[in-house]
Amino acid sequence: MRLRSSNFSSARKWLCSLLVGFSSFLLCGLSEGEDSYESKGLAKYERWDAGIVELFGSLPVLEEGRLKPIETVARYKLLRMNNAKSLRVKVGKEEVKVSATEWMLDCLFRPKLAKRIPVFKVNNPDVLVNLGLTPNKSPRERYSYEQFESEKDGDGMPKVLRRLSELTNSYSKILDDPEREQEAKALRRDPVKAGILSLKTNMNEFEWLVNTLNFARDGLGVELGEVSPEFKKTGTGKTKVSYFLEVFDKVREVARRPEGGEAFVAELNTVFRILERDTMTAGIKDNSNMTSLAMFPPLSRDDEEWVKPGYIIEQLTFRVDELSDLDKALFTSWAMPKIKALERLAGAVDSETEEVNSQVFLSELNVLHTNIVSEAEARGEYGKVKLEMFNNRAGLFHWALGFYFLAFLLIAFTWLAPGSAFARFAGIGVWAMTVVATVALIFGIILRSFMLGRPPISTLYETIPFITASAILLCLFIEWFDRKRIALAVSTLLGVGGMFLAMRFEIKEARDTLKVLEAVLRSNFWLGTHVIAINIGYAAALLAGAIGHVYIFAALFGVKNRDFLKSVTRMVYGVSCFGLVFALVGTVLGGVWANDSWGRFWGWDPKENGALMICIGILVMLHARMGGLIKDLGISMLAVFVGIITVFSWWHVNQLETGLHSYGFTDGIMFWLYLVYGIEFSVIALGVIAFFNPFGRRQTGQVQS
Amino acid sequence: MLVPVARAFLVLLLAVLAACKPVNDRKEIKTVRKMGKLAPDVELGLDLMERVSGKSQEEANAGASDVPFAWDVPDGWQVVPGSAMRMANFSFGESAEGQCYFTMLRGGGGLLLNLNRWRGQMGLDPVDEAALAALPDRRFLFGNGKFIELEGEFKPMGAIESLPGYKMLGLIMPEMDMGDIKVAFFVKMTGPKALVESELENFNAFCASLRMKRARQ
Amino acid sequence: MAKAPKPLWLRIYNFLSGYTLAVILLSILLVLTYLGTMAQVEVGLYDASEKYFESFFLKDKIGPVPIVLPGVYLVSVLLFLNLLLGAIIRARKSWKRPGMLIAHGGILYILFAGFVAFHFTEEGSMMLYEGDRADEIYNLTDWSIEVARHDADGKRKAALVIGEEDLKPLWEKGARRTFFHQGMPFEFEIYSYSRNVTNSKGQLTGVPLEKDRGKYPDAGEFIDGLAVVPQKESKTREANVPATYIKVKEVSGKVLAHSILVGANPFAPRPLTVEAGGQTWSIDLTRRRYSLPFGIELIKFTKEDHPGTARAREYASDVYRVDDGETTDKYHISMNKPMRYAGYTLYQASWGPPDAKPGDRLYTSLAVSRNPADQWPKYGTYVISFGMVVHFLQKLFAHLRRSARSRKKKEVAQ
Repeated sequence: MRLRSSNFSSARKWLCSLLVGFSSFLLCGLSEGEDSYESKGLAKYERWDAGIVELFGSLPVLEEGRLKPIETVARYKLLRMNNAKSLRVKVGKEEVKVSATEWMLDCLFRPKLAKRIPVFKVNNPDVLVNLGLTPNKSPRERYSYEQFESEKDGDGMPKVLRRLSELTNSYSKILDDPEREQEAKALRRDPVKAGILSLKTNMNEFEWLVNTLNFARDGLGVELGEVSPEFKKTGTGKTKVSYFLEVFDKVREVARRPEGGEAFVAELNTVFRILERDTMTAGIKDNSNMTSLAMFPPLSRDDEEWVKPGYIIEQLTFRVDELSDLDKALFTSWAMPKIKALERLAGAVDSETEEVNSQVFLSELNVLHTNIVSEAEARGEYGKVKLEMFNNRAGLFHWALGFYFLAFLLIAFTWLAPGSAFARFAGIGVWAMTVVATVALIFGIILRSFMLGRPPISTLYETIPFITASAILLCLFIEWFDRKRIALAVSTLLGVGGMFLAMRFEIKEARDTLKVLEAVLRSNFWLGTHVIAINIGYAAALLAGAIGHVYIFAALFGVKNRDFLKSVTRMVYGVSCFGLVFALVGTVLGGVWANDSWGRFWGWDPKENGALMICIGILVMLHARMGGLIKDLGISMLAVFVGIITVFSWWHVNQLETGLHSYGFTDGIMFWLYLVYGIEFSVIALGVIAFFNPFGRRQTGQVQS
Repeated sequence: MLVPVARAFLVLLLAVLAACKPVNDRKEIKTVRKMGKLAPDVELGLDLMERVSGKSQEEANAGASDVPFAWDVPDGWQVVPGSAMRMANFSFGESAEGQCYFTMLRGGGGLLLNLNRWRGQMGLDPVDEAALAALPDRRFLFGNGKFIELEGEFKPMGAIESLPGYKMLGLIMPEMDMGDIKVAFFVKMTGPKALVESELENFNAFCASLRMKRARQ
Repeated sequence: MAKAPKPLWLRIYNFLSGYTLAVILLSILLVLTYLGTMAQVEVGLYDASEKYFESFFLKDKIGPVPIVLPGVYLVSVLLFLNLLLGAIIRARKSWKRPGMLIAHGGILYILFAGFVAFHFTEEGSMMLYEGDRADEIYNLTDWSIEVARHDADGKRKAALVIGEEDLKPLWEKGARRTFFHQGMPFEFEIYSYSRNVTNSKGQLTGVPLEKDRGKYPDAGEFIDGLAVVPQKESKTREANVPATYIKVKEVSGKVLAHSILVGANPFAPRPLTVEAGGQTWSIDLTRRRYSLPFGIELIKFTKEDHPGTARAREYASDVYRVDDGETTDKYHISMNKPMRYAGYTLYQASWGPPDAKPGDRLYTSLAVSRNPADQWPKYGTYVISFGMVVHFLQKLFAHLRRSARSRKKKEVAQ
């Protein structure tokens, strides 16, 4: 059945302009999420050899409890600083796109260059004004580290960085003091102060990153051979760390000699100071600061924790006496090649000009890569890393977004000429594109599940693709039987909305979305079924609300097509019932799980309450309908209301900063939440208007209650 | 089903009535709890201050675990509850006559000042900068500290009588700039000479084991 | 619709069992759940739950206008009634709709389970280092006063317990209450009870020394150098430590003790000691304790982190059950795998100390509960799911039959 009612044309125009407006809004959002802006730029940027980038990006590192390719680490580091997973840098007059892995290579091996690359995005210009800097003309323009570092004060200290530290220290005092909770809240909400704090965090991470391989690049900064004839002279003025580790026993012996040791000990003090700093930045074991790279598989296959380079240095110097002779010999023979490999790699880049000898670098990287990867493979850990590389490159969720968008545009066009041959033909195209997008989406979800070895819906981010996919599958199922293209149209829209939301959320959070779980959330049958059921419940409740819009607008514009209206009502009602089953069972299963885990079936936790509210909302709708209190229009209005509850439960309760389910505090989304509430309550208000029928075109028995 | 509901209503009614005025009534205790076999014993006969400050002692101990340092306790040393000043506090020897603690002094106070204070406690005369500079350096925490060895009559802070034949070992790190404040760290060990000398290795091991804890999230 | 006016009882019955009441009750429940959720931000989970979810009536404000709302407890009771009358008794019992009957029965069952659990659950925690034994648990949120007689060895056989429900009226300013028991050779009055005397860092700022009197202008009387000054209550109720004045009198009226009780540390209880009638008694303000009919000895606690992080991946306790001082069966308690024995369930809840560094000695924290309705909700879920599946399958088949018929009709028409 197609819509041919003459009354529908006005509604159609309205809908079309509404939808086109919506899509252009989305497009704007998309372009902001990606990366196009001007920047100060560089005079010259020599690109890394493609082979180097490929090999380096696929090196595995342990971060946040999970082994992942360095590429992923680089992408999220860049996302935090730059608001995008890649960079566009102006080089002369050209614009060069620099991938996250290339940028990471710059930070590690060409730190001087890295400090000149504009990478810090500062959204609020007042942040810079407060730091005593002049903001760039365009807010999209990024700032380089050099811009913050170059201006020195009387003591020769970087003025802006010092001011930044002072400000953030004063803020931390407020944030750390439980007595000053209100002040702390206000501070977090202040865009300038919050901006300063996040800039400081990013600055720290950047500094840490560029200093990570200091030990391999700069050595000890001192020539041991110059001070004592016992040691080798390199002639470069820098003794290598690996050499220092090898002769460490001798160093100690010389230092203990009563005669002539003094100059040596003085020198040694400098050495230790530098070594201690570099060891820290290279990351020791106890250092939970995740910014160092745990890039070496541990000595023992039973040990799960990968090793940061600093740990090796620490073991062989500061803690060497803790090891027995045998352990020391073992550890040394295992560790030294790793330190040396990093030194050789760093040696392929000229320390002054930062020119890269690509051939040498590549062949050294090859050796390192082969060593690490073969051990990772032997440990059975590399498979997931390869999978992640594929996932990073494939960008399945982006493809899904694109296809949903195209499908949506196409179906919007068919509304301009309903029933035409074009519409019929386009319908097939819409189906095809939606199916392709959905397959990409589901494949992406499954891939994530494989990489993590757990069900794919345990974080707030993960619920977005899952709920989107569930709602769309439900739509397609309805469409299969109904064939009125109502559900199909809704599905494309949900697809665009859901995938867009997922993308924005990832940018906002700027943390790896593949997360390991706390003990309590680790797999358990009840938990798994609870989470899946609840999220399907969310999906259905949202979908019912979305379809409810169709009815409300149709009623508002006096659509008389009975068949169409009945059909929509049936969908809303059916999907709501479906949602009720899953939300109710899911909620109770959550209780069963909680009871099994800590003996508490129901605890009035905000997230539990949210799910309960969805169930009650739908129950109100069903009972009101059965009691004859509402009819078709009322059902749709209540469905929209349940949709609002679902948004509240899904997003808003996470903002409340209380309760057990607070797994994803996300600041700055309150504005969007209130916007959604505003729009949705207006839609309900429109339903009330439709009920009183200002257009006077209501047919009896159609939408009264 | 109905009985509890009715009772609850009654309670509610009473509560509503009672809500008008604060209660002032007599109530019989109805609940009895039988003690299990493993029920812990309680300390009896304490006066109010002991009861309350005992509590705050616990609090102080809980606070002490907030110190940003970690260490290994040498064999044979007894952990003594710390205080705000002493981040780690131990005793050793048969009747716990030896003691050792690690502390941080806010405001520093200067190396020489501290050294002479300690010398005073051991009944020794103050020395000057040159003597300080001559003291041996030892790796300690983030850098180098001065190793101090003193023998004499020990007179603990606040004590009246001196203890002869005592020895004091100290490892002190000069002032460090920690943002707004200056701090000095030191480990100090005192006890009868023979005992302290026999614990020298433990002292060294303890000093070497001092380290920063991992940053708290 | 009958023309003749229905008798009043029938109209009441119809209303009580009707959809309208169901819609009204569910709507109120919706509003209360929302309000209770939002209130948690301001006052914390426990106070919000008590006000909205465990009450019969509550006073609230819409802007400046004070209103009285029914509490979730009352609404649930009415809903139970409405369900029972409407969905079970009054409902048409035909084979056309057995599913809904079953599902509603399941919901009734869960509501009832909630009622039982709410009234009869005993909950508490047990913290053990390896090698430790215990056979009592204490509640983290509820406080009580325990009075016990000690024999010559200082041992107690039993304690008289004043529970939170009898202490609650004392929260109000100016409230005082005298407690007595026939086996107790004295009675005591509790007054100026303060729900919390600690600051947000857990320090006892509400029990100042007399020398600091100047800093506490609102302090009550000083007894033996100390006073009780109420402090701001924490949103996490577990963090609150109460204190109160107590006056112990012989029946003759002679004052035996006039002192202060401060909420006891569960690890080191230091009660007020009273000598009366030649016996030694202790009075302690303590977290509500329950004795278990068996003991637990922790053999081993294991905690495993995600590699390179401080995030726990798994933690578990191996324990012995101790009966009459003898170790008996061995149990493994881990996340999501509790130990069940004698109606009690022991869960792996947490561990401590919270800031332990790797290699530190850890204690395990077991949550213990006795809930007669423990597994009922699970059975209720089975019932509801079964009912719903039956119902919707029936609907689906009915729909398919209908559409098949209409398709046939169309064919015939053509």
